[in-house]
Amino acid sequence: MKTIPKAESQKITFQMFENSIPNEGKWELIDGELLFSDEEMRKVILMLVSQIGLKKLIDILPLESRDELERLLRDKS
Amino acid sequence: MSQRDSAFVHLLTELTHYARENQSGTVLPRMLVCVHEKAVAVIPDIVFVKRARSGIIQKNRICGVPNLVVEIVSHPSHRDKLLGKKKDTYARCEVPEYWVADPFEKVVRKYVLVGGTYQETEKSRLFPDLQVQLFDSEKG
Repeated sequence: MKTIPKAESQKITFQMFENSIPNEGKWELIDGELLFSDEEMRKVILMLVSQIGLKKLIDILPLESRDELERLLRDKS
Repeated sequence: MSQRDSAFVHLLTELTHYARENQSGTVLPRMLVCVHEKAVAVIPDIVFVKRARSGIIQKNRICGVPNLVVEIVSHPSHRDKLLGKKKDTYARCEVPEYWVADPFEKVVRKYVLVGGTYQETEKSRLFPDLQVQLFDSEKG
């Protein structure tokens, strides 16, 4: 099942939750980096953003980051 | 109970019993270990702290280097992380002893720090008389 963040908040299914828990649920930091594999990082971020929704994500981001995101999206298209 | 959980309970019980009998220190499960000067914050499966160093144990974390760290392989694909980045990190933090319990291979690999790197050993310096064996979870 694909996790697709949308504009509004979505409920997380148990299956999505179970599949997205990184590093056995342990948040560990080594040399300034979370000890998640790229795949674990991808899954947990998609789950979190799905839960809060893209609108909320944009609200949360500092203005500077929003501008940066806007620029990145413009460059991509 | 999964193989990993079974190994965890078995090791935690054996180590706790041994440490109590010998009054050598404290065995703690899944506690946050912070080594600020090395920028490390990890949650090992089990740690042991000698009595003389018990001051590093705080209410909800350990601030400093434990004497022993034990990690348990939860899935065969998990081995690389424990024997790679984690092992290097514990060596860098100068954790004197590191064990990797592998319930899939029924083995506990023990490493002692010698000159900044881990060397595999048969006998632990901290739990010298303890014979730890991992069994199939169905056998108990």
